[in-house]
Amino acid sequence: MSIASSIHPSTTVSKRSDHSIGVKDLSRFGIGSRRLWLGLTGVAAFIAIWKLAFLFHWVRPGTLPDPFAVPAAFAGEFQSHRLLPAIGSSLIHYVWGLGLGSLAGFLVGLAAATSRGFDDFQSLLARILRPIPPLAWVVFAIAWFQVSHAGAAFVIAIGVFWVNYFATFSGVRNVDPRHYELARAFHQDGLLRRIFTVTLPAAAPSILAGLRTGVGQAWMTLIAAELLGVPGMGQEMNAAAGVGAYDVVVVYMLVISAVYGICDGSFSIIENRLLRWRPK
Amino acid sequence: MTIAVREKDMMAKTEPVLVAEKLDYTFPGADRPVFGGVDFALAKGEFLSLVGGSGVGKSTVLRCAAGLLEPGAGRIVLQGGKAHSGRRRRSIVFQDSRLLPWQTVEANVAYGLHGLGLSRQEIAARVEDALKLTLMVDYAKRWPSELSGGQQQRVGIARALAVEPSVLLMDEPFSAVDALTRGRLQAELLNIWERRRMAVLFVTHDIEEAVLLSDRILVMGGVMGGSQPACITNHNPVDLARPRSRKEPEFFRVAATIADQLQ
Repeated sequence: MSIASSIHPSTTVSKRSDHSIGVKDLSRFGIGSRRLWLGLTGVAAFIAIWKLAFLFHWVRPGTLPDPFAVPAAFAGEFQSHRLLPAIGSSLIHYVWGLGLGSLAGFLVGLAAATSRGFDDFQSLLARILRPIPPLAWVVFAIAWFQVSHAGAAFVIAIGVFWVNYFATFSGVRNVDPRHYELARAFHQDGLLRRIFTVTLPAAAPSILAGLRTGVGQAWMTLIAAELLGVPGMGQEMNAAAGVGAYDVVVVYMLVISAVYGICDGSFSIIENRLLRWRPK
Repeated sequence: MTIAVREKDMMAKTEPVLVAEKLDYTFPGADRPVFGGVDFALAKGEFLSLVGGSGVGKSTVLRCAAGLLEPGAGRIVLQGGKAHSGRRRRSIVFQDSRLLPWQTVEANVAYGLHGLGLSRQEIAARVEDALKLTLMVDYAKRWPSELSGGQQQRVGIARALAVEPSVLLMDEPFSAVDALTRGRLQAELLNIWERRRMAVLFVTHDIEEAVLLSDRILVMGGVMGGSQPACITNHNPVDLARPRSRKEPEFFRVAATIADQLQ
């Protein structure tokens, strides 16, 4: 066995075990064939129970759509040119809220973790503000920004701020001090050099976990904010529910799930790329 | 012959590149110094080992020499300047390889070269030289997590060599690897030292390792059964011819002498 293969035993193993291209492709995404089939079975079981609930009126009639009517409702929403504009509108305040909230949370968390003075200055304030749910800020969002993208983005930003603040703070505070000693030993301990070569890479797993959690948290806050009238998928859901079109409500729920899945999946690829140095 | 006289002899023969004078260090919260009155001089091109039992402060002496700790009293003079003032003067190999896991092998080796005013080509050339010396050139693009413990320590040595130090400080660099790897790394270190001829201050608790590698061995121990701060108790020139063999009777005699001094 060569030196290279002795260092990478996984290389040899994967060559032996990848017996079909399909399984190999799926395994790249962490999906084994057994896991895939069981997952699909779970989805089928859920739809079957939903269908039974619809047929046997397990809930108040008219409030649960036929699961098999959802595709037609999706086509109807798409053709009516409401679906894509609603997604686009939601994405505007999603991106702004997520971006600004994440950036602010990261910067304040980094400053608090690296400066004892700033930490003392802000820690009591953080304890006071942290327990307030993002949706409690909706009142002020409407007062300051009216029912607008900016208002929704403000509420979303507050939610993701705290997630990123704590993730960054704990990630930076837990950097192995031996890395800093190394930087000092090799004269790489200037503030910026130390931050970019030690602090941020060492804290990256925690920071990225915070960002990824924020991606999900932002969706939850976004829909709640839109139910109050900000244009987007949440508002469309509210409008559909108002006229009893629950199949359309389900369409938007599934679209939210799909858009979130795309966002989370994309972030996962970026995260794996940035953290490719971690032991497999 | 007293330690002070021997030190004067050594300094008279060759130019010292590192001098420790009356070093004393107390850990934060401790009520007495871990060591005190530590004096030694490291001559240009010399291989000097510091041996002693656990807890006598060998690694702390080395960290003071590296400028990573400020001694409570006394001073370190590194080529006429303070320990932490010179960029090119000294380099360090830690007990753990202490590679940055998010940097490739070559980036780790280049770590100490930034800010020295070198061009990218010069940095690349130095990295390649250091990796060749440590037999790690084929692993340049690997992540540290893909290497064995011995390979990681080779990269740690390459990183220290890349800055072309005149003083190399080594803190029990082979204590975390298996016996077979340790033997190979010791031979490779001697080979590098003979080619580069930098001064080496080598901390170890392994007496045979010290005898195999060193020109001189300083023994560090507690006074009055450890109730007083540790200090350098013995000074042993190693006059054995190189290359040395652990099987020679004279090798055993020197090692036994040092073992007796450590009792």
